[in-house]
Amino acid sequence: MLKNEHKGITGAARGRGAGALQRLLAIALLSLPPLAAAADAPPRVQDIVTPAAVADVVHIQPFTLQEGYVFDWRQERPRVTSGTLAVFKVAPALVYPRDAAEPVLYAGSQTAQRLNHGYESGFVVALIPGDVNLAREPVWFGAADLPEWVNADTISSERAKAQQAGIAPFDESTVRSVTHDRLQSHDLASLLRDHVAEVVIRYAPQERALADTWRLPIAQH
Amino acid sequence: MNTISAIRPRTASIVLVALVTLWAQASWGAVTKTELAGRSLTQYPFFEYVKAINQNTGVEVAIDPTRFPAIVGQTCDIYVVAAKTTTQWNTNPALTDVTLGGAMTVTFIAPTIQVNTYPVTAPSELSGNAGTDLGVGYDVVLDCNQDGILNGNDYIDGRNNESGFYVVHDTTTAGPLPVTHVTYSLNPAVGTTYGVPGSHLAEDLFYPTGIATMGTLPLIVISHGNGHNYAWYDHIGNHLASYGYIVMSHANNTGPGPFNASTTTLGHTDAFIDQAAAGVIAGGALVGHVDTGRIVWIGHSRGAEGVAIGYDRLFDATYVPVNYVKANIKLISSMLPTDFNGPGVADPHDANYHLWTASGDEDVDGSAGCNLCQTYHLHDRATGHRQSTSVQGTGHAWFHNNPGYPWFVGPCSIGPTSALTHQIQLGHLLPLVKRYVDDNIPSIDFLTRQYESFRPIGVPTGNACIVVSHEYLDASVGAQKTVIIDDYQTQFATNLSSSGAAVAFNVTNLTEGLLDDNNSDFVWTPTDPFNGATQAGPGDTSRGVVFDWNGANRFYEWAVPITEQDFTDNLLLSFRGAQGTRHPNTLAVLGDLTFDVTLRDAASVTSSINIGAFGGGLEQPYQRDGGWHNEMETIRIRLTDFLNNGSGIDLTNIVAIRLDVGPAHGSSEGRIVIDDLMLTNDRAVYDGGTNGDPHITTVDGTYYDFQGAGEFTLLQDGAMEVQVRQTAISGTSPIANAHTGLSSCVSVNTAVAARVGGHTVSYQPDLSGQPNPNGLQLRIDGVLTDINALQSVNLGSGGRVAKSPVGGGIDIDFPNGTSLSAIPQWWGAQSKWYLNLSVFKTPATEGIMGALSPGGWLPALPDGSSMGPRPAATVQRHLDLNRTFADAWRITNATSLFDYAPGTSTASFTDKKWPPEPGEPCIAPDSPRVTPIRWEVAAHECRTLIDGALRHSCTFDVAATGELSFVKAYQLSEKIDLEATQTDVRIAQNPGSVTFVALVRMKKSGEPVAGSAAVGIAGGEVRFTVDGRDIEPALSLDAHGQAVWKVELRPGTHTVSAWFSPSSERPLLPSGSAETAFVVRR
Repeated sequence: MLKNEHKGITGAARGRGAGALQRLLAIALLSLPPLAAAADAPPRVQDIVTPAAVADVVHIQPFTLQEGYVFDWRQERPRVTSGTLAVFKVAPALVYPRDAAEPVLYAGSQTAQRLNHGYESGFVVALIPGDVNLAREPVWFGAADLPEWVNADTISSERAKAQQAGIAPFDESTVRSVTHDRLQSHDLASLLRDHVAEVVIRYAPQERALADTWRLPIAQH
Repeated sequence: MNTISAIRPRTASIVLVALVTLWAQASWGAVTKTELAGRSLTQYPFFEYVKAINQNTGVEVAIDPTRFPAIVGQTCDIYVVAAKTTTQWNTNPALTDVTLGGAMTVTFIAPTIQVNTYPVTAPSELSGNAGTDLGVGYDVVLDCNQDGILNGNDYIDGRNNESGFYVVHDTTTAGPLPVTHVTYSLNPAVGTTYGVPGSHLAEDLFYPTGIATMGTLPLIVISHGNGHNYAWYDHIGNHLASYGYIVMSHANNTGPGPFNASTTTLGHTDAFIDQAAAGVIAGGALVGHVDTGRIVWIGHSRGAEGVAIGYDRLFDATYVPVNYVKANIKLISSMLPTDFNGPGVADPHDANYHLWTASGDEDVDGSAGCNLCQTYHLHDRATGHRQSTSVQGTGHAWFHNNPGYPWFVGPCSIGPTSALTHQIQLGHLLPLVKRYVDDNIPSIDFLTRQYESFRPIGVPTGNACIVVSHEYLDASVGAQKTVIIDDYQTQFATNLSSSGAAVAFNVTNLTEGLLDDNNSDFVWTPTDPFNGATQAGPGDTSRGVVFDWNGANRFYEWAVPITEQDFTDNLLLSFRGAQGTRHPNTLAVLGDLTFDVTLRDAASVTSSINIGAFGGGLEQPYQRDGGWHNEMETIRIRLTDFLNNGSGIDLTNIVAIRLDVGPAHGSSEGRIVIDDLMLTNDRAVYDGGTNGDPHITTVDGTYYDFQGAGEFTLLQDGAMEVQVRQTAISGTSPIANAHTGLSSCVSVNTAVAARVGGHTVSYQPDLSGQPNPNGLQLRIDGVLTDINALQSVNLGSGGRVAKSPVGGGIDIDFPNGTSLSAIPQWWGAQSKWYLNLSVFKTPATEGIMGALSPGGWLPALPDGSSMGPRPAATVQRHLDLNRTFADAWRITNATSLFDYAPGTSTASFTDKKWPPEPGEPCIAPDSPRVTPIRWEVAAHECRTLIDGALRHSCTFDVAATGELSFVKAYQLSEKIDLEATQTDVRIAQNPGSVTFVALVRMKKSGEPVAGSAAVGIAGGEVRFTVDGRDIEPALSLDAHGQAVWKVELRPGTHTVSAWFSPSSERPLLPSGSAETAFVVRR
């Protein structure tokens, strides 16, 4: 069950210690016209500057699975039996889906599995392996790449760049205020079907079709 | 230089020459099979022979009076008839015209093809309503004795399972079948089993609503791109399902990257087959209806790279599916693929591969600075049949059906909706799938002809922004006689082709190199000669040549290697080319670019065809942001077109191919990239076999047992036919055949007969009926012939019978390129000879060894119809196979090619009740009961066989009969498969000399038998025989499997043949060429 409502696109404070440049970038990207009309032009890849901070975190919820799954958003493909469901407020320009390389979303020493696109709503729903403390670990968009190619070395390098750019974790009060009770699910499919689908509809209603996909009838006798 | 004095007499050959002459003269007057249907052109060659004709255009018929001088002065009736198969023509040669005006009577005259071109139908006069098929077949006959019968010296376009032409319907419109659409999620546990992530379990399914009555249908799998959705391909799903395919679009894990997308494609394909068979999908509607042997993968963007990676993983065996194998993937089509992974990973290898490129794509944008955005890389890595379709004016998102941001940038949009793009997409996708899934014949026209002159009916013609270019490369090598003159992959000097022959030119600024723009923009500079080329990326090797001309007539000329100067083995001359992006000469033309292609023979006779004759030329590059990538386009010219109107060129002796450019030949200036000059054929050729208790491997690779007793058509194709006699044996199958599921009483092959050109050949037991362990008897046109004495008998037109190099059997070569080996074995206990028959390189697909009908479990019936899906009930399977199918392919007294003793006929060898129903006793007349042995014992006897299928067949036969001679028979069959060679002689005449080239290839693979001095491995020696005298010394094969001998000969008629003797180091069988007669000119 959700404990708090999200605070809206412009209402949240940025994490402490964020560098001026990154703050400016985030503000600049957020000030772009909303991408409500799907046919609006996406930014050119070369115009996207990384590392770039996410604007806010509006939902954090740890989860545990009875049957883990292979996390394929980094090269090492760890098996995940517990993790963190998080919803980030982002600059739409950073998450406009494309087939060429996209900025990779990092959370501490992990890549985040982006479940939705988020360019219309400005919210990205993601899964992060393990019980990450977002008051201690930064979240940022790194250089455009394929997550399946990203490994620990890449993450370390990108994290250094993020720190150099002044990207810092969220403040503890924000994290505390948006953290929800742990979810228990049988497997990833159940987690998505029973919990995450509703989160997607709440924060990114334009992507209801994605949520519906996870809730399709199961082919069985 | 050698001289004729170096040869010595060999008397045996003189006898052979005499027999050659005898049999060559015995050839019948016969119906001439040639192309007749097509469309007229406004310039030379003035007519284009085609396979597909759009329903809304008329049909024309033309014959060139200089190629067929016998037609001049003849008054003939032109018939357009409903297409018939070989059997139907053989049994009913009567002509029934189907046009509104009936047969047209014309008198053919000299001197040009133009005056012998006749429109025979008006637009929309003939029906193209082919149901789920692409077109309706028609044959064209010139009935020159005007008797309403196909006979005598008539001419025909058609006469086998390839019709003369096909009237095709609008491929952009839906097919006739109602479609059911369901969406569901795989069970997560199933997903886990097959590696499908729990986040991507959704599938969108389209299938014909009436599937319950439809047999098995091919499976099309769609893998979307990043930011796309599995539900955005309804247009493809509905379209293809309405033509009888099962289409499944799945959620694709593209977010991590294309490799994970490939995992999803592999897994969803596997899981879908599993779940469909289990009855959990669509309420069980698909149970027994998914043809897992025919799978197509279509991907978009990252998903398009993913399907190539998926195939690479199958190829490398790093992923092993449960419910299908690599060979089941009949086609991969990548729509606007990324190339993150490069060679070695994103590699279609030998798959049949198709590429879509949107020239206005803003995402996978093909730009010089973005290697992963260059679509053509994957195409150029493919080594199978490959083709690409480039569409200008369209964007990345118009290939799915979501009306979001189009990812389009560029002028001359064919948007703003995806409607036009979808028409082009669907209009070509249907023939593409049909070509590789159904071996559809007219489909190739959609993939190869100039778009300007032939395109799907439904695509508007008035929109100048619709510009489509096709590339097509026939990858058949060796056996199918595709000949690569220059692919630029070896021999990097500009004066040498990759085939080793000379290249000459006076075009300007010529460079050979990688097809890769060498900087990050498409601005023309002299330091970037391949500006705009994006066929090769990092690590790729695709190369070509680029050159230009400006205001003057210039040329680029390939010498033809001496071994390849006979062009009559091939159907088409093919190369690909593109205009050089943003070069000043390109910008000055700003339109389609044309030039002449010229052939020159040894007597310096030339014949030229302008590439614009067939419509278009090399397309103007898409001027996006001032210039984009080069869009390669394949130019294909029918070789016989160069003969039209008495050009006088000798296609048996072409010494050079030249591109003539400049004001006298087309565009006055230009810059072009050229690559892949080759001679090709479009029709595939196949291998097959029937061994032991007849275990038949059909020409399309299905392995099934057929135990009927009697005489059957084994294979046929027009005038070529092979018939087999099967004789019942008192024994039973030890196990059921996997394909039929039947365990039957058995039979064996005991005789074979064939039509070879105008001759009949039979190889059968003594006509007296008395068992004769001395051997089978060979008859040619009914005359008993001692092949052991003659070694080889030439039957003309490429037909020949020769003594087999092993096993005391015979080899038969047919004029259509088919080769048959018959290996006999004596079965003392049964007092019978039995035969193993191996067929190589045959275009034939009809008969009990023929191709399975689409969706059918058995080869098609003589009228082309299907036996349908395999019945579930054992008894019905038995009746279908051993009664209906068997009876359909039985020969008659009228069609038999066997020789019979007086008082006997085909009926004497027929037992329509054999094999009896499963479970009944196996008691055959004149066949003592056999004594089966245990399977394990038989397996031990057959253990030395390498090929698993042959080993299984051997074990089966030995176990069923206890007869150990089967082991020897299979060993000989395998030896022929692995070690048989074929020797051909080419003759090239130059002023003052004649050059003979013996080319030795492996019979089955067609690969040259190469010697290598570098590693000390000798291929063997070739000895030429000229005018009956052996040449001394024998010559060693070179690294290309060739031996070359140059000699001076006096003017007049001569003969030459060659005999290959393998070196002792090589496990190869010897082979000899046919004796070829030729004339030395003064």
